[in-house]
Amino acid sequence: MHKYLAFFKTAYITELKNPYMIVMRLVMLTLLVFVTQQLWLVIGHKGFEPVNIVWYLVMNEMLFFSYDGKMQKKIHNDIRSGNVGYSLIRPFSYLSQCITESTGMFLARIPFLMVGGGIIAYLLTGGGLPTTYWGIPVALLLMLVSGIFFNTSQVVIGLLGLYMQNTHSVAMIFQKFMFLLGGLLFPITVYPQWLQDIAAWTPFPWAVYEVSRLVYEFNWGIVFNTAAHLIMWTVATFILAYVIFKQLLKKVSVNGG
Amino acid sequence: MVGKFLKFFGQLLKTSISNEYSLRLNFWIEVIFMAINNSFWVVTWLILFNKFGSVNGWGSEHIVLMMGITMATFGIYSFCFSGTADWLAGYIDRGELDTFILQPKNILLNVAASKCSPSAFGDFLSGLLFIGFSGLLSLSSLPIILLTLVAGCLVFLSMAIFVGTLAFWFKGVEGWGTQIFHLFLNLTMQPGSIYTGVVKTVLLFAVPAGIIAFLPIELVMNPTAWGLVKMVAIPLVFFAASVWFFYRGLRRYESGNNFGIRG
Repeated sequence: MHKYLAFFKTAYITELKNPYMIVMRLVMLTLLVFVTQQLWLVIGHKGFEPVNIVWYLVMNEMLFFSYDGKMQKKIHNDIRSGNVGYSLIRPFSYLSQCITESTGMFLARIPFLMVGGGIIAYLLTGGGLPTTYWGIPVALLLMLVSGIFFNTSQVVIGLLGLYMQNTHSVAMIFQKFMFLLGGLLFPITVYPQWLQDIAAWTPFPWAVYEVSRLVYEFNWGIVFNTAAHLIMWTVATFILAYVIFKQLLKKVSVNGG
Repeated sequence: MVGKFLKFFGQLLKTSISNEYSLRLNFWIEVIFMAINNSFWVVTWLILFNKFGSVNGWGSEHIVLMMGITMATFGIYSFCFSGTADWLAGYIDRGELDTFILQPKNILLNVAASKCSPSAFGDFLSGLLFIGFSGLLSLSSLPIILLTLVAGCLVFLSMAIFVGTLAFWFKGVEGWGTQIFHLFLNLTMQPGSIYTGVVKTVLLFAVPAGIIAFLPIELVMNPTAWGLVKMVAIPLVFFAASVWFFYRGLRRYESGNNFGIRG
């Protein structure tokens, strides 16, 4: 267990060593929220309170910027180059290493995004707080689970390098699912009912919309329902990662690294 | 001289394309996946425009045309000059620019056209599809759209050169510089009609995302001479500035003493 803790710690500290990236993420978060806020101003908010929309967007962008494709690219490159063979002979699980490092990177980023995002939302709303602002701590806790889900998904996408020459396209489509079905820019309640029904069968609205809407529509029923779905989808993603990893082990054992 | 320049560019492009097309199935998978990826954007905006109606005078046909133009211009840029946004900062950071400096060819062109992105072909094709699908393609709008494709490609290239060149002064640009470029790309994928006042001016003259995001649509809706002048002049000035910036930064370059092979 201590070796995975060491991986976690190394990834965590390495992530903190790049202050430009921390600042850049907050700058991008601010600009993207500002631009989307302009869009909402033009369309007239459509039944949503302006303050709630800004906080909703900031929560979503915090999650969006808390994970990136680094781990997915690393795993993909390791598999395609054969370097994964070096890792497989070492006395630890390559899959667990990747998941641990990915979690370390995520947990290094998220506090800055949470604090910075909160300040940015407060400033953009002119000091306004969302309707159920007491739900923010609970939403942030659920966001940690969402982040683990998305980071594990990145590991799964990277592992698809076993079957595909380039997993970047898959990562981009996954990101678009997050945009569309997760309600990254717009609460999914603005979508037609048929699209909302489809989205409910995917993990994205549970990981994005249901978490972020707690800042303006908080109740414990939503919290427990969201937590249950999130945990279910996160566990499913871990299982999928394990299944693909087993395939990888089989192929490398038979064909070589 | 221009002829030699274009000939060299053609040869670089041919090499990059051959390199990527050697894995044919992968090439076409990337093209199709990128087209699917782009469709999500358009579908999202169509759903929202159907719900909200027009956005400051823009209807769904305008947003589809804008997305088509953005995708097509980005596709052309990325297909021909993928060496800039994705690779330039890394070459500078790792001291790998030597390979390009030592060749008796234009350094910036050599770096910029050193890589080709197969998924960019998907961007280009889907962009053309959406331009046609918008219903705004006509004999009168075609010259404007063609001009925009060139101008937009120049703007993307210039932005990529600016961002990559920062690596001559700062470390880690390969990471955060890519984020800046993606932010710029994101600005071109929002309905341009939301930008007004000072923001609109900045997005046209300082950070010219407006050349792609709203100027083409304004010209299609209401062509003016001044609009056409902006469409030609701003990308050219921006490009000239980015080239100057690159060569200014090149003076600071220190070799990494890496032996490398162009690949």
